[in-house]
Amino acid sequence: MEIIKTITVHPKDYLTSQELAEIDHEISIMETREAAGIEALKVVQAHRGWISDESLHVIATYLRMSSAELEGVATFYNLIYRQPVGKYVIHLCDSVSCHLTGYQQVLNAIVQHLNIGYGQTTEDNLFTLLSNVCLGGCDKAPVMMIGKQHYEHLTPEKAVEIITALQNQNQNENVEVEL
Amino acid sequence: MNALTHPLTHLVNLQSPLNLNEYSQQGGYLGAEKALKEYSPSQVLDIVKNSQLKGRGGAGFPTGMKWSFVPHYDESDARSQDNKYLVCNADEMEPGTFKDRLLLEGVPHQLIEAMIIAAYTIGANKAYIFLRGEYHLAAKRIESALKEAYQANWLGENIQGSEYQLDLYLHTSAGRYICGEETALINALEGKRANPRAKPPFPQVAGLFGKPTIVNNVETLSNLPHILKNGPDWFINISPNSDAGSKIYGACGRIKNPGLWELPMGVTIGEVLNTHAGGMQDGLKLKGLLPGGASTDFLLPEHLDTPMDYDSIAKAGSRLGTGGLIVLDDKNCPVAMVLNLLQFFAQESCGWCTPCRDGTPWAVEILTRIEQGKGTIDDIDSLLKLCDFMWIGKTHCALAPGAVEPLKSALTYFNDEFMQHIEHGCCPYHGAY
Amino acid sequence: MSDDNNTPNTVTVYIDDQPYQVSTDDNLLAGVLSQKLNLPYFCWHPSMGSVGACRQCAVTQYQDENDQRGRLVMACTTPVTDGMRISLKDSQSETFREQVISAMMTNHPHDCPVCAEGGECHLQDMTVMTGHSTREYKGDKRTFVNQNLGEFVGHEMNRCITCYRCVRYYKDYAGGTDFGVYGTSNKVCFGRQEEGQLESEFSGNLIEVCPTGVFTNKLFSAHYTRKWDLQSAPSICSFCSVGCNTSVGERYGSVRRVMNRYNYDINGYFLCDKGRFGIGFVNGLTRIRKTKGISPQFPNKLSRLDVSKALVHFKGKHFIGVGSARASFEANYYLQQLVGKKQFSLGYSHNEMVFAEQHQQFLKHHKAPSLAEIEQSDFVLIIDEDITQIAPRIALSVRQALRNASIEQAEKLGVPSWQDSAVRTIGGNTLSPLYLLQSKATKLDDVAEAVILQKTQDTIELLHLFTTLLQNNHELSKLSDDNVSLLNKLLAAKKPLIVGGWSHQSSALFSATIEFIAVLSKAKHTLRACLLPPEANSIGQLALMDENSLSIEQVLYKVMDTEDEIDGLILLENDFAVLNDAQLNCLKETDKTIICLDHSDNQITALADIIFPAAPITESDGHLVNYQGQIQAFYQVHPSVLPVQESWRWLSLIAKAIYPKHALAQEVDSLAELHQLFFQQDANWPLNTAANANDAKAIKAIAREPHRASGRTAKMANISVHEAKVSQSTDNYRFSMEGGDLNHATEMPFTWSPGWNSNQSIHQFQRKVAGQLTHQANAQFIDFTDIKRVIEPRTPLSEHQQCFYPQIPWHRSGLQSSLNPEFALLHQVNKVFMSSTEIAKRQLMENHWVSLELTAACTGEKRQYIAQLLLDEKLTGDLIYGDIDQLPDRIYSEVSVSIASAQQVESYQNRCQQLRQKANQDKALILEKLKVQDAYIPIRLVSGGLDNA
Ligand SMILES: Cc1cc2nc3c(=O)[nH]c(=O)nc-3n(C[C@H](O)[C@H](O)[C@H](O)COP(=O)(O)O)c2cc1C
Ligand code: SF4
Ligand code: FES
Repeated sequence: MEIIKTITVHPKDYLTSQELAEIDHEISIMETREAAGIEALKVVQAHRGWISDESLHVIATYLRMSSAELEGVATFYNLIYRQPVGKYVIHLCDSVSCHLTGYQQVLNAIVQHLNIGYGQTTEDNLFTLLSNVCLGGCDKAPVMMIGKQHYEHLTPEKAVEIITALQNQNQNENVEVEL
Repeated sequence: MNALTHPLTHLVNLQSPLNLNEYSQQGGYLGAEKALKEYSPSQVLDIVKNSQLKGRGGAGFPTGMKWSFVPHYDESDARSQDNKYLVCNADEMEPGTFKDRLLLEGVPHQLIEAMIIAAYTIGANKAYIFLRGEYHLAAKRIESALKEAYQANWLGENIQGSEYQLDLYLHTSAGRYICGEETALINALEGKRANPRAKPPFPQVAGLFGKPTIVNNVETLSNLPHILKNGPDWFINISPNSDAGSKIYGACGRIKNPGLWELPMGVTIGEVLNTHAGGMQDGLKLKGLLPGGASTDFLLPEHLDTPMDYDSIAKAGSRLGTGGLIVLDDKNCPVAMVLNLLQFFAQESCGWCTPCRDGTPWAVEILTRIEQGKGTIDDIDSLLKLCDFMWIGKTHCALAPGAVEPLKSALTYFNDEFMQHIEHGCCPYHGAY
Repeated sequence: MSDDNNTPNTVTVYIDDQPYQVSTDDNLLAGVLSQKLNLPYFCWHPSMGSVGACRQCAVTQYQDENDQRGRLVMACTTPVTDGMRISLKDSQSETFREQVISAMMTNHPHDCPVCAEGGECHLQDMTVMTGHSTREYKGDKRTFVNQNLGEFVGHEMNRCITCYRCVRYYKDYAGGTDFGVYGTSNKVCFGRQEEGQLESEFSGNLIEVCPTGVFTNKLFSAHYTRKWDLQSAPSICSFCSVGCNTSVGERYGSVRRVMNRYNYDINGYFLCDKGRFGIGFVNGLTRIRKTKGISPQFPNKLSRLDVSKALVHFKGKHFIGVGSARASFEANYYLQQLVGKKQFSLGYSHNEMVFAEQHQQFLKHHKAPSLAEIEQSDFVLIIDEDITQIAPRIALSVRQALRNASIEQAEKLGVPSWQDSAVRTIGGNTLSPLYLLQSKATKLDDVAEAVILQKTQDTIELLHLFTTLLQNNHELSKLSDDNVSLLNKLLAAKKPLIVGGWSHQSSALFSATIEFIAVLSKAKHTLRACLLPPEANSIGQLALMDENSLSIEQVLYKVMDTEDEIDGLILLENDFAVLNDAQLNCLKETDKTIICLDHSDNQITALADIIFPAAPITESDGHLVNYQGQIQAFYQVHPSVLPVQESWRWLSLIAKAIYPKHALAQEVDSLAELHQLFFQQDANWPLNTAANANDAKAIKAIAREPHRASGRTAKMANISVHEAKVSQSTDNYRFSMEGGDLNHATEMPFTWSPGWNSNQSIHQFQRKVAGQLTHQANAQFIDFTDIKRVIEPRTPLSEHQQCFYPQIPWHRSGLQSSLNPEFALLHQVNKVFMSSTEIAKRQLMENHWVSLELTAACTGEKRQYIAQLLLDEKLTGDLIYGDIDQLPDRIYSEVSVSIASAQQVESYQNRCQQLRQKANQDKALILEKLKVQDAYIPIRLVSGGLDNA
């Protein structure tokens, strides 16, 4: 039985000082606190990979808005992840120019190589595969984005190469890539 | 390439964009200086009106006229200090459109300079660049350009010794095509769900946080420094055709040389496609094209001589849109292409109004069946009805009518291909790719 | 917005070439519907305005007579202009409207047979209206996961047509924070962020606001019946003093649900959850269904003779009558007449009498605003009253009033108030000022400009200060900034509103409030003030109060006094909750006769010598008087099973047996007869019987059942295959489907009109959409007379003694609330709130369990509670408040708080657990009993009893 319903976490105990500083900056440039909601979600996501329920509650409390309201925002935007994702999130463009230039083959190759479909994460938690609308690289289609990096002129082979490189890199040195 | 023929792109450097000093040495910030030092806001407004600049965000609305709807700066109103906003629409997510990215990554100071001019004109002291989340490189470059601009007192208080103050911020978005629609964008900027707003009130009267707000496209704004430097007549004369100025045209698809080119307004489709983009790849023929992004009607090879200005393209039955050609070759299935487009629109519908929310997925369902060879002749009829159902005036915003444009024109121009799918029970292009 | 459709704001609109006079105060859709023309819609709601989302209300607008093509416009977002030409029948708009439905149907599950909305579904109605009749979509439907939203509201997301009404209602209109809209494209869904009890006091309106079956009434679904099989009557909510109009539905002798009954001036389209979900008390386990203290002549049948025989023994004896604010106006009056004014108590303590008297005099001079008027205010000051708990529906209206600042801003830009989304765009978070002078946090804090948290004593002083400032125009230096701006804004407002009330039981606060209002209203003629009493008929009681009225203390004194000639007490639906333990003990020990009339067991019926089972509101005809003094009628939903009958019928029996010579000792068969009797006796009797009698003749009988009520002849086939005679009613409503046209009903049992099976049909009965009802009888108000005596406050419990302020949530106030097991389940955990300084001073820790000892000021009696200690950042000083279950409503003069031991916490948690278990068991038991009862239709006809011929 849950008699004490919510043990409220204080945002200042949950968020790191860096996160708080970044969120405070966003708040400072907006007219209302809630207006910083999307940016705050992005800040926390940048540090933690995704937005857990707990993160959502804490951010909402910090912005003095309801969790329901913030959840409505979080679920509207596709670049906010409300589920855990792998270290590298692959956003493969599936819009028209990439369609015309064969993104489907690239997709098949990635799916086969990683053994996951859209929306899934590899068992080693390294990769999550998502589709993305036009990435603005139509003249260099097909394209994908991993983390902050755009990869262009893809072929099935090239896509697998890129992913393999990341896999190796991760195995050998465990370097932090800019995500 | 020079400042007078290629005002927007002559300073573009994608490898490493000009920093503030370099940009200034090339004549940068002269436009802004002129505006601030020589003109009153209403004089700048007249210059912009006279230049006949039209919005490059897709709808082609005259920029000067849009600005003139902003209530006049009222000195007696204490709140008017910070009660107007300028927002740059850098949400570029229209499939087949990538022109703004060039300007954002290649010459960020040009946009900042432009926004100083625009903000000064409408009397805004706060401005935002609303940048789509995926443009990480652009974000980095804009941030550092902003820092420089603040340091050099092109932003902040008493800009260059004037009375004018402007704070310019970068907001990076978190996805969703609908954020490009200007009122949805404002909601997104307010941290809300990005449903388009009801109009009236138009943003010029009540926009961001309820205050008068101007939203302009990156390319639209980027023209301003040059118009101020060189005057409206120069701008009009760049183009020998009916619309003023230059335009960044693009082309993509299976063509030899996909890319972007700044050309005088109103060059023909053929010139862009054949002269600049090098024509179709070997072994492929041109089947059709979308002249200005995913939400424009198909045109056919017979339309190659059509000038790419607002009126001419409209006469040919489509829209100039963003000026980015999406080229369909003869070995790609038109039905599959339309299905891909509709999937995009169905997925990106904000879910506010019924025709778009439930109509676009319905079209996807039908197109999927047709593409898989499971369609019936009635399905064509249903698609036509859906086109009617989602047309202008019936939806809350322009997303769904945008989805109808390629679908409806495809049903006209590629009727044979649709019928083949239905009659043969399979895609005739299968394996052709 | 003016109400009449024939105001100067009316212009000519050509609809399908016919001219119509349409008001320009509202949008075109409202205009069309006001002409009683059919035009389908979803997202628009008369109370919530237009957002243009669903696109269902499209019509074709033409530029002029020569325009053949026209263009589609959404009627709900189109203003009405003079000479405009539109068509509803052209194929363009007709086709489009059908397409909108068929698009919605691509995902709607077609599960009407198992849907609780079936038969009163707005979506069904609109589907038929547009002519959409075949399934066209061939693909899969999207599906959602449903949420458990707590005790009251069911959730079936797959039925959603995404009109956004729910979230607009819950969040934007009612200010709820635990509900939202999630996702995009055709995967938009609505609900809480995570499963759990909906927190808004107004959550039940989701059921009526949702045009389909996404949100349903769980209590109704558990014992379900189709709308067309319900027998309904117009009723009045008996839970608080607002007097919301309800429509109560029953079948087979058990009450199934409460729906909103539109009343322009009071509840409009919305009820609170207490009124909607609290009705279960009439089906409760502790209902009294037999007499006690009277043995029937025949084993199973109680005759009038039995009652007379039992009572004849008391003939000529002296009884004190104690009325109550829960009983009908008639019953109270009757009892007062029978026992005599000098032997009558309203059921108020001495303290209550002091401000009751002030309140009565106040109402004589200040007409309390209706809810519609409250919604027009542009400034609101609430004086130490948690109105969301005490009179929830008024809090909802106050929330609407606060939007006036936004609406005014929008109007300056030429945007009319009904353009809801546009107004919100323009207004943003702008609210009209609300100031709260409170001794505890309340649900309106989130929309207040300032919450001034202080002890009641400080509020009293502040009010005195305000009053002197107003009188003498002193400079404001003594006031804090908040208080200065409060006063300035109050004086600047065009239509200010002040709300206060009884809950503090403080005559000092009450008189300070009244004094302030009196002084202020001299300066501000537009000032409206509204003082909230606790119960449904509290103001009706005030009408009976005079210099003779006894306080409870006097009653007890007389009962205890052996010298006094009092032989006993007649208690009319009064459970004497005001008594403290000592007083209750006195009653226990007395050898005087206690006669109780009540519907459910309580602490007093446990002591009674004779109990008469009184009918609760759903089985009664009568009137209640709301906070404004408006007298409102309620009607039997179903006949009561004898011997249960209305209190006034029992009183008539009592009269004949005990007071045979009394002029009112007469056989009365109907309420109308009773009124006539009263009128003959007393020309001041406010319910004008002559007029009523004429009315009764003019109005044809009205059916309580809809025409489609099924199985009429088979209803009792398990008992007899002969068609049974329907129960006779003694009012204008029939217990059958025989009756006149609803159009002529001033009070509709239920709303229905051809093509409009849902509650939306109400606009067919309004003069214009969201306006007054057609054939609405004029509201009738009590006229208060001067009373001679001023009751002196007796050495009052001085307010500064009060150290703990109890929060009493709506679901825990009064006997009737306590009879709903669902309400008991709403209590989560005891909480006490303190300021950080107080927590530090007492060496306590936030979020920890504490043991709280409270000392009642009047008796010194101490009680201990376990609670969670929480910090309220707005609090300063030593003010402490809290929400403690089973805490008697008293003034507490001492509070000690210490860290609770693990043992204490554990036993508290166990007790909570047990209470929850008990509530769940009761809930199941009641349901089971009701379902069994369905097989034995316990209507009057087959029940036997009191002389039933
Ligand atoms: C669905 C939709 C998406 C849009 N996306 C963009 C966009 O990404 N960038 C843009 O500049 N304008 C976009 N627009 C157009 C804007 O609403 C708006 O017209 C434009 O930003 C105005 O700028 P302009 O006057 O400079 O053209 C979009 C419109 C719609 C209906
Ligand atoms: S057409 Fe309607 S649902 Fe679609 S994006 Fe626009 S407002 Fe949203
Ligand atoms: S009712 Fe008019 S658009 Fe929904």
